[in-house]
Amino acid sequence: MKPMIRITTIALVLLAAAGLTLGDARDEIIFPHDLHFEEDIDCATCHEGIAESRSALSTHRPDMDVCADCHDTEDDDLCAQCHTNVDEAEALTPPTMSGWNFSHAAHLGADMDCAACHGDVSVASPSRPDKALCRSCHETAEDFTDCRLCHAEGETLTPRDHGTGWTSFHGVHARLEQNRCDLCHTQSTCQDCHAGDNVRPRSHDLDFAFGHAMEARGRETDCMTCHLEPEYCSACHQAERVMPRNHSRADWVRLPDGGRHAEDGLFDLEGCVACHDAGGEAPMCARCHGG
Amino acid sequence: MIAVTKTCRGRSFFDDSRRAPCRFFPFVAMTVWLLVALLAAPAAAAPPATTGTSWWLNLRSTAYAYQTDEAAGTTRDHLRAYQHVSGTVTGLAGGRIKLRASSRVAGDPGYNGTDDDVTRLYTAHAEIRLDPRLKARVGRQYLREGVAGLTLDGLWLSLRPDKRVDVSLWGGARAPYAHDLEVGRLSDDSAYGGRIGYTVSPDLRLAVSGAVRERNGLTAERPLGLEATAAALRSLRVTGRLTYDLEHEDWGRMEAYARWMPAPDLPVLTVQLIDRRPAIDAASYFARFTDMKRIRMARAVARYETPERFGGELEYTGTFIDDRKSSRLGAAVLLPDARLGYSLRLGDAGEESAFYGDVQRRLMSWLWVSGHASLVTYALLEDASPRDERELTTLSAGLRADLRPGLRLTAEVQSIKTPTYDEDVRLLVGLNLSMARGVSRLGLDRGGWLR
Repeated sequence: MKPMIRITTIALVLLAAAGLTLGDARDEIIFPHDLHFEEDIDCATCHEGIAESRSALSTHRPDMDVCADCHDTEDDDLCAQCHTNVDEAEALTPPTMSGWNFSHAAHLGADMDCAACHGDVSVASPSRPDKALCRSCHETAEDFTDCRLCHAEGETLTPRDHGTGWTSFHGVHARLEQNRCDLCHTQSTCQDCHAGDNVRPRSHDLDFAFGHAMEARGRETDCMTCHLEPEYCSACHQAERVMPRNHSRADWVRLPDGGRHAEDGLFDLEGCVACHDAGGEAPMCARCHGG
Repeated sequence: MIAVTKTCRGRSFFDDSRRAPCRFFPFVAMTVWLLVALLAAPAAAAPPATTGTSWWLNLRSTAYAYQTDEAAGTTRDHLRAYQHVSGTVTGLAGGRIKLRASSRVAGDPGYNGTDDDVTRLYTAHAEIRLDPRLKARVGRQYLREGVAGLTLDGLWLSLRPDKRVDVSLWGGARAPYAHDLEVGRLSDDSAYGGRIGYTVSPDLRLAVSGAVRERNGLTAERPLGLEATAAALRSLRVTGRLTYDLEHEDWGRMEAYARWMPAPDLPVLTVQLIDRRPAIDAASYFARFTDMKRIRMARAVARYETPERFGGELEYTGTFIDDRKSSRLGAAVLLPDARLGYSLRLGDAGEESAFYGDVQRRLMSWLWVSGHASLVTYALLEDASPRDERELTTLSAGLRADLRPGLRLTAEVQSIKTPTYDEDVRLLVGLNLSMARGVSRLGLDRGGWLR
């Protein structure tokens, strides 16, 4: 336990410290949508040309000239009304949008109103639609077959965390954040690699049969992600007459304390189950352990 | 030497007398799909569809040639063939119904033995959109819902009453472990559960999930999970799950994962921690052994890559089970078309020293070549003597050719030198055909050959 606590603490402290060190207080624009809405200001006053827009690259957010039509943008004392960091005030940064082919015109032309995608626009900060919302209407037939409906040539669609080390970790994400996976992938993505024949694409290295005992004992990966049943192990081990090396120790089974198998069982009961579970029936262990 | 002896499990819809000819089934299947391909080709020239359904079909044929040593010094040649078929149809019933299936047949006509994994049905389900906020899926399906992960022959319901809330309920029988054609039986192995997710803010998402699994009439598992995913400081993403096992009245699994991506020009750091009790279900004979030790695992990776794709990667993995521990350290150099690495494993799980290298290069717009080599020295126990050490050498060279949109050829030669085989050379050849046809304006419009 101690090494675990130490590693956890160090890792979290490092991450937090690095995040705090590199975290900055960039200027952001405060735009109280609700106040503008209450004034009954037409959407197009600030979001000029939105109804005709056919690309997500044009953000249709107002620049300061538009603000200046109603607000005194020359008075330095009023900067903080809109800027969170007056000392480093910046122009409004356009949001990073993927889906460059997104067309406001097409959606508004289909009798959809702003709320269909942005939710209640009378609140201070209406939401931006996430991809899950897009997918609730735009369902594609299969992975990557219909991306161009929203995404233009030249868009980087691969998330930053999908680098070369991604294969080591993607299973964790699939378990914990399947919703994110579902935004781009379908079940066929999993099946391309995890179909089970280990032919192409290959889930295990060519020499995996020889070293997989170490992977299984080291628990680096969760074998049960794919090989859910103990029968998977026993079917091969029994057919090939492969027995764990510790079983051939002279003290493997010894009375009265059970010998080494009793000790190893405490540490690796999953290993026992992998071969000796009999699907609910009493296994060979029952001869001594009863049941 | 390994003697390949496998037995027929006889759990499929086919009885044994019908299964025997299955050795040739993959080749029959390949012939069929070639005919399908020829029939589908005219679709490429067809005018775009404007209404109705979209469909997608993928056919992947692979043949694997190798030799095994048999008893009495003889050898046997194998030509094992795999045929995958998967397809999707969407837009049925006015866009309300989507069908999906994926299956595989495999066989070896040069091998007289039977095989236990000839036919597999991975998924076969219909997804029905009952309402924009309510979806149902019925049939065989992969399921990852919080604490549950299984292949289910049953029903899954998804409700999204609000943008912030998503609810799922599911239940049915677990599919047979080999994914054979037989439908799972509720009396053998059944499971049901649900999950509620709530998006508190764009940076915080919470979910609770639960499941009940029954095996042979006994309650095997009752996990209850709480998940949280949070983003902080613009670059830190933390996610975790606590699973309480109601059946064992103990924390079944605690898992945390953090990924820090400060900026494109800085390294990415990842930390993963797992603390779990061994996965022994309560219906198992082995559930009587309650004294087992918990398993704790830690992994940390630092990775840096320039826009030119030069970089490096360091990885540490440690497993701790009481006073027994196993560690692995790895380092790799990343080059634009290659990776060179070294990995060292020490401890209770065994010892291993491995050098490896991968290369993948695009020679032409349609042609990729790749290679892999590894040299491993290993021993399946701790503090091994040189007598216990073994060596493994693997080499492979392959190519991938996109012959035309939707048609891909793969070929690979593999050589493995192992403690069992002095020289083991294998040949892999595969052909992948994808086609689609549909109604959308920018994606599937032309139909026919797609990728």
